[in-house]
Amino acid sequence: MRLEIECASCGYGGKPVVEDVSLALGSGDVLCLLGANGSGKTTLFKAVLGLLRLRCGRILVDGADTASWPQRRLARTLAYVPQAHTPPFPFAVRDVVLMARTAHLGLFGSPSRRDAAIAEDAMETLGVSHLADARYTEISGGERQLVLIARALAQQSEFLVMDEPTSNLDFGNQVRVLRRIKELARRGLGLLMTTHFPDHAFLCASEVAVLKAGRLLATGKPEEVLTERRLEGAYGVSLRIVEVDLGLRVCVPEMI
Amino acid sequence: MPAEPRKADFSPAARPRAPRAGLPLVALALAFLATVCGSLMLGRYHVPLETWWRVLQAPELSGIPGIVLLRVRLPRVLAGILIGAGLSTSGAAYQGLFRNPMVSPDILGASAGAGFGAAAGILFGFGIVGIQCMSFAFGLAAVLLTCAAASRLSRAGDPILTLVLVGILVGSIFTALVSLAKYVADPYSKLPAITFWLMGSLAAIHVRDVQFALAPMLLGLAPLVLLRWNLNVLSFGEEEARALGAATGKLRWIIILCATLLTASAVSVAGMVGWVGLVIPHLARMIVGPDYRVLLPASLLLGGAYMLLVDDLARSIYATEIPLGILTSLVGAPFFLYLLTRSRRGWA
Repeated sequence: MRLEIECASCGYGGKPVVEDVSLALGSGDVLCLLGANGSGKTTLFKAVLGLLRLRCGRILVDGADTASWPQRRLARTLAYVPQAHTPPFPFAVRDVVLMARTAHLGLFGSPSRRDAAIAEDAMETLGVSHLADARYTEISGGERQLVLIARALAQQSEFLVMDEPTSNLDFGNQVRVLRRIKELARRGLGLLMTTHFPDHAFLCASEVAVLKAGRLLATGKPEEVLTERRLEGAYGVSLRIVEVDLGLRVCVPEMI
Repeated sequence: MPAEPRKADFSPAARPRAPRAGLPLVALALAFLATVCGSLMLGRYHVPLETWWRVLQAPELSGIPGIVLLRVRLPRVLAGILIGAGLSTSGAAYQGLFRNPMVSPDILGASAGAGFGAAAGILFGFGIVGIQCMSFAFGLAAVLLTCAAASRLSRAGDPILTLVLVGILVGSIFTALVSLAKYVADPYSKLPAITFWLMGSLAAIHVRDVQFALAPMLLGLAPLVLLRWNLNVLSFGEEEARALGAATGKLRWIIILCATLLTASAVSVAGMVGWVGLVIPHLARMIVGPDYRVLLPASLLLGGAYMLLVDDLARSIYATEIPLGILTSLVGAPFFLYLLTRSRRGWA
């Protein structure tokens, strides 16, 4: 399947936040969206998820415009992984994952045994089955992020939209989440994610896009797009890109 | 992918398990039934158990025990169950919808509106049916006013927060109107009537009152119970719930309409009965956990039983009946404080 963002512009009130952005990704791709704070990454995601109306442009899934789709159908195509958060009530992790099945239920529906089995599978895939009975409010931030990814997986959508899945995590948990992301792409899911770390794009992205002040600076393969000059332009700090073992690149800021 | 080494604190035993409910719900149902039977038995006129069977078999022929049980106690018990269950269920639903455990079902102005409707009805000298209709109508009108004003404001920003703020405004307007009605009322006849009515009571409950409240109560309860899974999803917030596939706009209006039907009909029959819709969902959450699939039926049962117990107190503490609203506050507020000290993990 193919998800296309075509000349999208959107914003709040009178102010446009994202202007004329076009992106595309297919099943098995990991598209990493980079950009400074306030560059419009989250706003663009809201538009893709149908939470914010586009001013112009279209969001297409296999060529079909999603603007007229009901929220349920959209949720069965695109699953959202928010940043790890705390809900007001201490739900069991099992139930948090099970909530993904809402898109497959009617208005008065309740999840069935089959839905529960799908949720169990998703927790298994993300390696969080042992947390199933724990309270979601009491597990660590890294565990929460994995649980939220498991939830998105249980939604059985073709694409996952992840808002900074590695923020607020310690180094080990960042790596764990990135590994899971690569594995999900190998399973044939299309992943659209934002990150604040160019290194993460080098590690797991098949494509990157750089946003600056709501406009697309560049898009393409990580090695081609993430050049020193372009990243300096996006973030306003001087930095170097260094090649380490096996051609892997890392981004190192200059401290003077 | 290489297997991750498990950290020590990852082991299931080290984590507190979220309670799984099923058994607690059965226990609550039994406790509820026991309270119903106890409340039917309680009273000056003693009806021995063997007489109950006779009364149930031939209600017309059973004389005084039949009248006491079926005409006096049964309507009162039914009204108590309906009001307690209605207020608790709508309170639980609102706490999920507004993502805040401190929300009670009168947050959008339903009680204040219904209180003013009743006060106005008494002021204009309406009969009891007229007062109940006025109360119900103004309860609905207050919430409609809140929703209409909020929908004009919430083009940008958080629709839920806007609703709550406008609800507080509308509530305070109707509270002021109640004061106005009291001020202009005849201090020897109508002022006491308004005051007693606002304090709340089930003393004067008649079969007709139960009939009056039954339809809106059931109409409010049924959708909330059916929507209980979606309440789980809504408590994650508007945007996340939508991304999970919930029709949040539609759900919000259904829940508000149902909770308003429940609150307005409760106030129109029994007057202002505070704290039930706030305390009982908390208690239920402590017993069965936050999952609305269990929490909603648990709140319903617990609310019904709690209301009966408070009404039993109102009937039996003192020679004359104590107004219900006074007791629910006297019992409810300290009980809520106790719950707060008991709950170690936030709001459960």
